[in-house]
Amino acid sequence: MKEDFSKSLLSVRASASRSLWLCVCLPALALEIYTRGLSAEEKAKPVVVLSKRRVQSLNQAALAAGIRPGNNLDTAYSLVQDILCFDRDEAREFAALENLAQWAYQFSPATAIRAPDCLIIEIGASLSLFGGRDTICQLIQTGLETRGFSARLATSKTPLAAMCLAQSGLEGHHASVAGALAPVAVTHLRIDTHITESLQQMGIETIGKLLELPLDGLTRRFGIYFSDYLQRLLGAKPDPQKYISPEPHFHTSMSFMSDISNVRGLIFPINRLLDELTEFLTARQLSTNQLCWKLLHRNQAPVSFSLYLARADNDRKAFLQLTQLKLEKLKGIREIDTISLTVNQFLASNSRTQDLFEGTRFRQQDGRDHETGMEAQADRLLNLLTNRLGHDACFRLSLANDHRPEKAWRLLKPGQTDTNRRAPASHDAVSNHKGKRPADAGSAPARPVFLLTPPKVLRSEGFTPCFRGRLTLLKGPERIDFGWWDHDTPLTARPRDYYIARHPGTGVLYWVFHYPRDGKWYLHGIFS
Amino acid sequence: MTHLPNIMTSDLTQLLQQTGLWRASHLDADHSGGIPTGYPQLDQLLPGHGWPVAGITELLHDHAGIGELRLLLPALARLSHRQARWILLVAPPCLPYAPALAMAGIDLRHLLVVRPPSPGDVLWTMEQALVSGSCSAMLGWPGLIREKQIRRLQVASKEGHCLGFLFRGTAVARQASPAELRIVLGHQPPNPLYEHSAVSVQVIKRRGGWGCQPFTLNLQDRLNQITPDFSDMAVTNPEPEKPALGFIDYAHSTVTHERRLQ
Repeated sequence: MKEDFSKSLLSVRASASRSLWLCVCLPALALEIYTRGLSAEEKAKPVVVLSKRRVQSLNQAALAAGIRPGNNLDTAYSLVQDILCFDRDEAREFAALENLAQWAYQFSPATAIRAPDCLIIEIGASLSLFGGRDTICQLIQTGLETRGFSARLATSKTPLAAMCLAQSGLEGHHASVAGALAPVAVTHLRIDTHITESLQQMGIETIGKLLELPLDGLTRRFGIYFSDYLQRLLGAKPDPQKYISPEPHFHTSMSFMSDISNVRGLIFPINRLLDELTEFLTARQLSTNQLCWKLLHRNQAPVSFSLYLARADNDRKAFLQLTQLKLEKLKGIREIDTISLTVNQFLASNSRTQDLFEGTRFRQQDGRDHETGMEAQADRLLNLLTNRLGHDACFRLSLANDHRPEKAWRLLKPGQTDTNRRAPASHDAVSNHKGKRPADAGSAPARPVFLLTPPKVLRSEGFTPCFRGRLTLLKGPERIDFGWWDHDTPLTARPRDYYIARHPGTGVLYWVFHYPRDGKWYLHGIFS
Repeated sequence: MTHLPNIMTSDLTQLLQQTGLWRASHLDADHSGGIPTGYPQLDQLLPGHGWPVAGITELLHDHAGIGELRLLLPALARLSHRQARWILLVAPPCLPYAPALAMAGIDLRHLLVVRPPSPGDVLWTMEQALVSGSCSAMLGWPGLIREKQIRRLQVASKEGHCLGFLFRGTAVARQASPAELRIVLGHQPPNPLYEHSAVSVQVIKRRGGWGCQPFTLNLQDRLNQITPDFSDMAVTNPEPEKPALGFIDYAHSTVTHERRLQ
């Protein structure tokens, strides 16, 4: 009549038996959110994290010095003088965990956060993509290490079992969940502490022993929630997880142990944060054109600066170069203890095709030079210029559909695309250099290469304009009508007569105009 | 010179036929083809028969508007269509006028104007543009610039395979400069027989040859017209009122006297 609990479970196998859960346990998360930005020698110092003035978590150096979890701050100081203390920041821990979950999203879409220190990832469906369980574990382990986190990984057929195994650090290679969990201490179960205590008082130290007990007895003694937990632990009941959704929001930060006053010292952490960003972007096939850096100090107002890219990118080198440029221009930074990077704007990345002959110059059949990778380089230069000189310093020009000189052109900001397709056909210009005249050169009136905005008023003698001496009128008049349909201002709403004028002494050609029935001359352009 | 008759003439011709011998008169002997200027007269004088493919060219002139840009337009038009790289105008004295550039055949998609806020940024911009390899030509109005800075630009230009043009005053013509090519532009009184305006050109430094005497270069701009007599169009003459739409046609058909040479 008494049926062995674990045996009863074997008969009720969950349908999703193929799923394999990986638990990433970060036992030192409370500590590592502070220490991950440190250099190796700073890490050698004793560091403790306090919760209610008691040591909650500590590093190897502190442990070696004799500090133990639960010691109060005074004890810790009496053991070691040179000690770094931080207050525990659970919000930041959770933020770090969320960040890591977003990063882990690249391995599986079924990723869940288990506060305070665990991530649960379903890797059963990703095994063949990454080449097996061990490879994924290896990838995650090294990925976390480069981010400055140490983790214990364990896999099992149920999420809760994986968590127990990861927390205990034991991972038996058992076929069954119950077999793997058998040597794990009951303290690693995620249940109320009073249940664990009473189990220990009953002499039940390991999960193996616990599972030998009859289920209905345990339910009667510890309640329905406990037996439900055990059933989920062993896979007898389904255990739905709340998966994260990949948010396109990126925020990461790094704190320094000692204040940084030299901007050059920031390059290393910046590099690291950018690494995280590019991995984030690559995993989601996104690119960005706006990065926001924030430099913080506990005693000073934060300094933030943004990078704008002409075209969205996910190239770490480009980001780094532009960040350095901006940093060089920053003034008045005395001390920094935290640096953070935030990206909120994302665009789908249209990956550039990598050419086998990257950077090689070809001559095409039609005589044009073609260099692969050219567009990327052109963007890089544009990014460089706009970030150092400001957004207004660089612009492109385009034609506009208007006959009035002031409105016949438009200014295009770097990222803007030309909507007007009135560019001259390419064969016109090619024939031009061969000695033939472009088709429209004879008919279209000449225009100056430089335009004065606004036109400059000239002195005049009789009907002759003067600009550093009397000008000789060469060609004209060309009458250009005003734009009555545009409601021009009354001053400009008059037709103009344009002439080409030469300065007799220097030979400079000017574009001048006057309003009919008005003696005033204006200089509007220079035929450079 | 006295030794020359001793050498047998046949030996000399034999020597000249050998390929390894460089002669100063063969300007383009070891220069790869330049970028045609669009002016055959000027091409002949330049090593490689055109603007140097990479390197700084100084255009020295005293008055903006003498024809310094018109001289470059054919080459720029060609570059803008042949290469998908930027043509950069750094710190131009006035606003470059898009319709005129388009009329000269320049593909405006590849034209970028940069107006750096400070003189130090002008030099930085020019160097970055030259070295980046993403510009086919860089036109810079640097203002005051030292020889050392030009040398840096020259090196950058070689590295980035970019044509660099610097516009400077003629006062510096006597100073040494590491530029690849230096040309002085001067005023040339117009010849009434030509429809094009002209500029006086003097190459004062070029690779593989000496400078040359000033000569007249006729630009391809059709800007030299016979001056009509405007004295009867005095301001006091009232202009008859015309309907607004008639004005444009009227403008095109008026005083365009042309006398062509051919």
